[in-house]
Amino acid sequence: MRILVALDTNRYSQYVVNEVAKLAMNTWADVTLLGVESRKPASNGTQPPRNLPIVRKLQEFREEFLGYFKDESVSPYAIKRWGYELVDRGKGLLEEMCVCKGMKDFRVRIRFGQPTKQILTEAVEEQSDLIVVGCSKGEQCTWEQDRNAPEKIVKAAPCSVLVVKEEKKPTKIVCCLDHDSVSQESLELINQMVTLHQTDLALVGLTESEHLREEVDQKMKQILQYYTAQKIKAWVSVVDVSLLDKFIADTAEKGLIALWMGHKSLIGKFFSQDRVGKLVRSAQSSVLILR
Amino acid sequence: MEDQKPTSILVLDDEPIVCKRLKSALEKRGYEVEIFFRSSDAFKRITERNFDIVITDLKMEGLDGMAFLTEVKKRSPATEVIVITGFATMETAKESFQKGVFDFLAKPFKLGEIQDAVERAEKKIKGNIS
Repeated sequence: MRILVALDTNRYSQYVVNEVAKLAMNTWADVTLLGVESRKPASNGTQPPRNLPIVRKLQEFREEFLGYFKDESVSPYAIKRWGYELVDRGKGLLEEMCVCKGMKDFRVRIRFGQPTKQILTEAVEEQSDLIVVGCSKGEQCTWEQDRNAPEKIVKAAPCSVLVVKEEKKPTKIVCCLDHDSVSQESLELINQMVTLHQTDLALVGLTESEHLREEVDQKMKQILQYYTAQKIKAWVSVVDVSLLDKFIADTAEKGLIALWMGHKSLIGKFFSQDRVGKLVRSAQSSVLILR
Repeated sequence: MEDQKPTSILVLDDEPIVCKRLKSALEKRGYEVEIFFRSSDAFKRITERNFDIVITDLKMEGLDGMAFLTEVKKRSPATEVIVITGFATMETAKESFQKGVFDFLAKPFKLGEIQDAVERAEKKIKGNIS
């Protein structure tokens, strides 16, 4: 699993690092911590700009993250091998440098430019399975340089996105799923989140009308069988589309909301991108958008 | 003279979709792949022959992946084992590591990720890296 962690200097980014470290302790994922700065400051030759606040913050986050893996004998990020690799130093300069690697990749990167664009570019180039991004609680996020960055990332990301609102262990995970087109990757990501938080799983199907309720219920039970076979405690409920906003608002207080929004998603049709954006802005708990 | 025998891989996962995806992707790269959905069948097979690489899920009915990994390493220490799991925990990751697993991949993963792990394992087997 490849996790891209988009960070700024706000307090919620601290929560994000902690959440990702816990997930990485279980999954031994390849992890990239990414900060974005709007403009690259003038630099002296190939010397990197060390005095930017995001540079210092990322160094703190790196130490915080690696602090979860103090026992190097079983750490996936402890250096296990090294070798010489050609590294592009810019301005037409290639340099052969000694590169150390662990069993899993752990990188800290800074990109320059518009935050959403840079984060999405990184996710595509690195083929991330999950983007994790922080967001303030309340209507207005305070992401640096682009207040709507988490919302925009959720709308345009090529992979699943976890928007972390606060450091809180969810007591349940509520998954709004399509009944017959959920991707295997999404089911697997839910498995990992359930394992991480040791919670029960509520599977929610959507119906547009009462006469379809039984049909949706039957199809949701097929997904339930998958989880039951995996020995995950799960139950099914069917919600009318018109009540989805209220349902999510009610459940978001205690649980982690997961919405399947892949290309074939019916929820994607019911639930417009603007409504997803509103959900990300207004949710009191973390939100997982599955793709 | 260079050994032309393809690297042999056993894949064990109780989800047929995963096995079929891996078989197809790995065979395209020239590997000799056998897939198993039941650990009992895979166990029987490793008593018949050794594989260069074993890719195994952890959570399965009957003999689980950890026990299978232990058995593979006991019978054939040179076999490199790659664990894939949908229910990763700190304990299973550490235990796999301590049992000498070559790599530990949590689902979901891209095919490229497992192809990369297989390539690295193959290089190690052929003595190209320390």
